[in-house]
Amino acid sequence: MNQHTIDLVNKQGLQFFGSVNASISHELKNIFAIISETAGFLNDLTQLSKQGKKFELSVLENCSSSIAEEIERGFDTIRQMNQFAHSVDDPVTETSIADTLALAVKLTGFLSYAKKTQIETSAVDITVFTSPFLLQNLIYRTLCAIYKSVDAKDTLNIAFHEKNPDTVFLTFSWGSPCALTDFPDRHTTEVAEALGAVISISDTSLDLTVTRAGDSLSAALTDGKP
Amino acid sequence: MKIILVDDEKKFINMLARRLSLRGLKADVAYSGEEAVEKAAHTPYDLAVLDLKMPGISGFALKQKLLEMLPEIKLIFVTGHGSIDKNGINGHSDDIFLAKPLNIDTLIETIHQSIQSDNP
Repeated sequence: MNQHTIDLVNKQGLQFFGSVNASISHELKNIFAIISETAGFLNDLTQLSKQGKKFELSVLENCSSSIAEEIERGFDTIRQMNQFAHSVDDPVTETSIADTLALAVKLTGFLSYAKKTQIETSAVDITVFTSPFLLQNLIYRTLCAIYKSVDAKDTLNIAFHEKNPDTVFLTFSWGSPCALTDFPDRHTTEVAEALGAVISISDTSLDLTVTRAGDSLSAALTDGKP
Repeated sequence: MKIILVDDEKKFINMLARRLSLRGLKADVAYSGEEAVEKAAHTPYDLAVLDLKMPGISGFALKQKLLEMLPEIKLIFVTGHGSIDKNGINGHSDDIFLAKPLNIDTLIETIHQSIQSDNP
């Protein structure tokens, strides 16, 4: 592995990991806060009941449904955390574009400035031989930049297709024209260069062209060893 | 005492309002900073409990807007931010922060202390 790639993975990777983990922990705290308040409310009702106060059974049903929903939300969050944690298992491997996009949308969905986002589901999934962690990083950074810039009521649409046997084309489009602020920044450019990805931006869309077989990336990450 | 609770986590804020109500504290709720500003235009709140991270207007930006509208309003921030693990005053400012999950007794005590600090 060359020094530049090591630095990229170590410095940016660690920062990215920290950022994602912070937003996940924030989400989990919100979930625990709801469960905690609901449990507290049930305790309040118990005390009132001991004093002879009556209340509808539907109140209890609503509380138990709410707790069950939040536990499911928590499990879903932990599943995403687990999936993200495993993105560093292999430096380079066959990586699903659909799965990477879906996870990036879920992870960025924890951010307070995230916008409504739809991934085109009719597309047939495509795999690329790349670093799943760096690709996740690049898409996450792209989504953050778009969310920060587009109108609060705008919806982001994401589509992808095979441009040719060697490249995959990801398109992020939004309704109201706007310029992305300070994007791509230096860190994003470094990640894109390491992946052999090209970013092109207009005021209503961003195109990401990703190389399907990242030979140079593979060599950089493995020193060319099989 | 007029209180408003502001958080985009609807279930959390509704449940908190119900629990405060059981303890004799009536509170309005707003699910966004924008809604809180709208309600504050019609009601002179004495105290606001604000989530820090919300879509649209953040807790800190909402603080400025509310203080412009209601200079005497008292503010308590509620946050799930990892670096605020204990209830109380954050080392970087005089603002009062309470960590999620909340302790209802601590919240009520903090509400009373905030209001009384203006009326010693």
